[in-house]
Amino acid sequence: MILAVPSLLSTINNNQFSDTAKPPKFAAMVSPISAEGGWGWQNSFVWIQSPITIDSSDSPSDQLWLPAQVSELSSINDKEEIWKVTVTLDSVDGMKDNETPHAICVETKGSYHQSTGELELESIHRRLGSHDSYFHYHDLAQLPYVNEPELLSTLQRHYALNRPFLFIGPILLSMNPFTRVGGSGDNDDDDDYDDLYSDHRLQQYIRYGELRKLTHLPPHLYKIAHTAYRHMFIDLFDHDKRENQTIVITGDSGAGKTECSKSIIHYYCLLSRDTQSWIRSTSISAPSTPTLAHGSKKGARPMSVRYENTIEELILLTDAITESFGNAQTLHNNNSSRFGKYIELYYSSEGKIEGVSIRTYLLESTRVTHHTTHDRNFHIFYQLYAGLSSADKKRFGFDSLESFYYLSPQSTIHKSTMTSAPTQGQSTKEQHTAEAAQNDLEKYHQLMHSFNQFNISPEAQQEVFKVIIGILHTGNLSFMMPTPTDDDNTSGCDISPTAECQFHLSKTCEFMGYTQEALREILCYQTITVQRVKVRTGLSIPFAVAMRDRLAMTLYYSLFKWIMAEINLALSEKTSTTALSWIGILDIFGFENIEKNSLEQLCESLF
Amino acid sequence: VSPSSNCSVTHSLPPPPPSLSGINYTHEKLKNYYHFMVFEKEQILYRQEGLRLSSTFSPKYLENSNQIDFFENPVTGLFTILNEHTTLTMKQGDTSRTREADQKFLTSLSDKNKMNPCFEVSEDLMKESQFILHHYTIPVRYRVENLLERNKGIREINFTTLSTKNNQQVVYSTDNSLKPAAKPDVVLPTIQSSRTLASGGSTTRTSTIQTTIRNKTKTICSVYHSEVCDLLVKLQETRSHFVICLKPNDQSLPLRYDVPLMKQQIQSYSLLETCLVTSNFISRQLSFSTFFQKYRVLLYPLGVSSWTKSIFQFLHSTTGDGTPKRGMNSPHGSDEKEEEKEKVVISEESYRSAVLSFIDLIPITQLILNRLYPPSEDEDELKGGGSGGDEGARSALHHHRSNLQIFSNYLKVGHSSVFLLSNIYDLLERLYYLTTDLIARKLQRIWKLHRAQEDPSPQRILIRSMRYFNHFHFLKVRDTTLAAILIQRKYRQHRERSRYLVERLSLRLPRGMMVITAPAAVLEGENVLSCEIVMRAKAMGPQSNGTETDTGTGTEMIKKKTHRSSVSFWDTLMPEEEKRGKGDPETTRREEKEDNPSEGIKNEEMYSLESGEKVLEQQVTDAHESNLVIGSEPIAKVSMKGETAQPPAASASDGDASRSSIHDPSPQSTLLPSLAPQLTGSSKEGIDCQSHSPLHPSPSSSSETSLLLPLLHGPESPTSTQKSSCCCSCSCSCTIS
Repeated sequence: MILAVPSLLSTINNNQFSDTAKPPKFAAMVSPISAEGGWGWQNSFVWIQSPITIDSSDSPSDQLWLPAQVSELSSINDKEEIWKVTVTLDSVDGMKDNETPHAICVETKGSYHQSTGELELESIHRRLGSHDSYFHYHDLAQLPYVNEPELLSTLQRHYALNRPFLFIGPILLSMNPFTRVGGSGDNDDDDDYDDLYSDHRLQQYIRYGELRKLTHLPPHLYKIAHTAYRHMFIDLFDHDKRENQTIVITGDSGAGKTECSKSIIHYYCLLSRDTQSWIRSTSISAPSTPTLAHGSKKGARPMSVRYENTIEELILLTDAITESFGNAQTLHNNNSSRFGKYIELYYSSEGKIEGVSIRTYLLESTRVTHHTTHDRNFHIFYQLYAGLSSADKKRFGFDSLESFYYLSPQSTIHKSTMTSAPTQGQSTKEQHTAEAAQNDLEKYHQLMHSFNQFNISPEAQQEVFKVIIGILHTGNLSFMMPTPTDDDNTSGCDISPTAECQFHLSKTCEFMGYTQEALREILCYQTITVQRVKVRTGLSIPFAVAMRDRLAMTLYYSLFKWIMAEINLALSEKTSTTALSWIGILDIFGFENIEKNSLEQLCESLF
Repeated sequence: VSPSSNCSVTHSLPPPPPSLSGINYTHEKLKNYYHFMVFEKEQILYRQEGLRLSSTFSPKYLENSNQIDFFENPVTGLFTILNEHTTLTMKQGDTSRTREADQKFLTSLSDKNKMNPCFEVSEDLMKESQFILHHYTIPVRYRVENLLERNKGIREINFTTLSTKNNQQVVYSTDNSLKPAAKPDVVLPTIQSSRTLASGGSTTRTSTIQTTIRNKTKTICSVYHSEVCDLLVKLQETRSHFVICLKPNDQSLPLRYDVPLMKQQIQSYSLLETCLVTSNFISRQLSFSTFFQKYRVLLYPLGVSSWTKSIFQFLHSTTGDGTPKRGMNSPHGSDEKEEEKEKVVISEESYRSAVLSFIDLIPITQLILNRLYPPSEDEDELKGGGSGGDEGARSALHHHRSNLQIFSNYLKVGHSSVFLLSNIYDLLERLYYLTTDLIARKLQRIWKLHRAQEDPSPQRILIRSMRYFNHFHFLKVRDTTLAAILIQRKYRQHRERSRYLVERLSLRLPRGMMVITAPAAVLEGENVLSCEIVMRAKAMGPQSNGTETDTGTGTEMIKKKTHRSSVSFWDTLMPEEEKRGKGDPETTRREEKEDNPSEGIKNEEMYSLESGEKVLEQQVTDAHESNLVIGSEPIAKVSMKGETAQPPAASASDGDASRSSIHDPSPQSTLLPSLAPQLTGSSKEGIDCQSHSPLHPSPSSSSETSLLLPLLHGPESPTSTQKSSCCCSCSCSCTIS
């Protein structure tokens, strides 16, 4: 039976990454492992797409790939590379003999690369059938046939069932479920989560981990966390012999790295807690369920104080601060970390957390001055606006968000919290704006709480706020060329004398502690040493603006560093010197390379 | 000029995002690190060990060394060239010719990197002063416009907290040390000084944080470069675990699975190759001796004869004579060291040959075990705690079952050690668990038989148990001994581990684990002695003086005279029903009854026989000593304090029992050898107490040899202590004879 194959698959059409010149690779692949163990067509597998979708309700066109055996392949016309492929579907589960023919023949166009074993077919017919025997693998390395469609389909099956974790050997894959895990996703008011992050689940991992029975449990962040913890003690009987561990969390932006690291740290805190007290699970209330979600996270994680001023509590509190200052909303991610974070948990000989240090890397400080249309600036600006009292706002000259250039370049400020849903009307946008403001307010209170816990006094907090708002005022400074009748070093510009600008200037100087002259000197003039003679020249407007932005970035960067140093100082007060080893958790920011629309912007702004 | 017009101005001069230059580089480096850890490290190990590299190790085409090279080559790398040109322009100090400098930079960059395949530059791109770098995921265009200017570095500003008595202020001082020559030196001190004056000189604050990099030559990219390198150095010092986060869709919507997006991520994180490689991943590395010592038990289901034969063969080949010396080691802990010394004598090479022959036999073992443990049974066991994801383990098990050849594929024997690939370790552990369980159950039956004996004569016990053995044809005495020794060793390790867990981690162990009894409490007057153990010295062997009838009557008499709560030694040996018939409400009994259904625990009772024996010997000798010390009056019985003290003690023991049953419903104890001296003390004190007690006239017979040893029964020492001591003495009595 030879079937004429009319059209390309939908996924192929959507595949924007493959070069259009070549036939898409994705249609079918010959598995490297053929039944006979060698290369060749006979009995090798072809993956054809099944029309069966996993979840008929929600996933529209995502279809499974089925393995099928190629029993015959003959070239019809060498020049045009038209192939006739006879495909025998493997006798997969649920296939009925009388209904579907086991062998189909496909006439197709494509080429076969002997080297890679890839069959590039332009199209291939699909057959019905359900195939779920591979579904149960928790470790992708155990898959009998490893190839790309199978990886995709396995991941898809797991994802559809809200099982976001999979192992590849020792490497954990985590798919962002974009919802509160296990819940129905939309319900915000319930505590009826699936137990993926529940206290029970956590305790289970702790218990099994101590019994060294972790292999009985499904993959989880907790599992890899406990594995690292266990690996730290190389020798069970020699407690001083340790090996330091690192958990490297990578992934694209918006893939849930920050939430992963939070969960892991939460686990470690509870683990350390558990080793301290014999009585557990009675005194500790259910932990605030961390979510993996960025997209639909509406309410903030309640920062319930469960631990009384312990190091664990402080660790959990750092999140609020670092997120306020280092995270921002980007196109695909409401809470995207814009810096790299390396948290080290120091362990004592008893296996308790004895100290923490947080290192930050590579803050994207350009975001202070420049962010694209769908992004926001760092959270802290919006949180301050939401949280400060009106009197404070007046004092700081922080009347509205829109009036500040740094907060509103090239964009509407409060873009919808939910990203890129084109059907959203204006009303939903406003609603989301309100929600965002509410969210900011909550975060502000968390921030204040954290500040207090970290011994940052109210005065210091005020100073921090002054710097932040001073940065905003700095951004509103504008420049103009003075009248040419000025003195000799004329070619420079000056801060424009408009009332508005002078207001911002005064505010900047007030908050920063600069004199106006000094600031002007920095922004508008430069001194060049030409043959050992210092020449003071003025700057043109673009350069002055660049200098202003650079100043703002530098201020923000230094402020960030200062806050991190304060946090580390507060943490180090709790650190004892007996720490033997550490577990590091590296959460590097994501690489936003898949934004098709913003590729141009990316190119512009890179470097 | 309004802010809105500023917008257009800045657009012509996009502000420098210095960190973004780090993004791609960071990711390339991280990718490289991942690549090394996942792909290359394993290859190196394979080569070292002389293992056959599987064909799936072909990660060459994944490397991104080109990109790394493009960035950090000391001659042609981007960082080098960029820094060179930056310093050049800094010397010139001319801002007007930035564009020319940029162009110059680009040409030199393209000249030096022509051969690099990841670098792409064309005429058109040159005009727009751009170049394309093919990252491991996508090609990215870079603009070099104003690149040099931006690279000059930002001035670091110190935030210093200075606290006066009144307030705390954040003081910023612009530090000009980082600054290239572009800024006048005059300005900055004025800012600094003005602020310092404002803050007032009285700095009593303790913490002064300065984050300054005082290296004048550092440009932005070199700063980032060093930052990334520091990070990677730190990573390399540690053992890394990777978590790769995937983003199923761009819209942040649940349950939406974007196939092209996922495909792209699978490619960019090279998950497919990772899968192929990690299926051959070495997850464990065990030395030959460790492997053999541990897993030789697996041969047990092959049948007793072949099992012992293989072990004997092995021992014969290594030690030279046929008798299994090491098998018959004495139970004392001190001898373990000697045993270890012997282990050293056996060369790893001979272990290696043993392991090689051993591996061939494992699949048969697996077959047998599969028959003994049908799949349904152990899958129920697998379902611990209602975890939702056992299907995977189950199907994996099925998968393994269908692949008996898996051992030869996944167990690799290298030059120095045995390598277990991927999750074969789990399977081995499972087999190990099943086998030891099998052995333990059989031992358990023997032990039950022992307990069932009414006849106190140890010889008869042994005879009966041997009959039992012969009846069931599954163990001979020697095999039992070997198995017992094996299990004892395992148990000792287990105990060490539990002790470690308890002492180091202070962990509460759930049901099924043993709990080591807390160190016995120091005896105090009030909470001593709610029970006692009658020990017959006769039964203990060489210390016995009296005749059997004497002791028998003595015991009878003592039993009548002591409280109902006293537990005689032989009582515990009686069958359960009989004890229940006595109606003794002693908490220990209750606990024992509670414990009885759980089988695994009793194995461990059995295991503890060695140490228990020792303790008992010490008890006896101690008792004798105390007897001698007290001397003049031959006190044969050490009794408890008095009836008045009884109810609180009983309640205390009740509380104990309930507490321990809350904590752990199956308390299982081992007698630590350190208990013995305390027992001495307790017996002495008990004797003192007895002298005050009006209720118990001391037996007059001087030839009386039965002793009543009080055991500690403070709240800290659970009642299981005595129980285990009872069973210990029982088991030891049989092993001695």
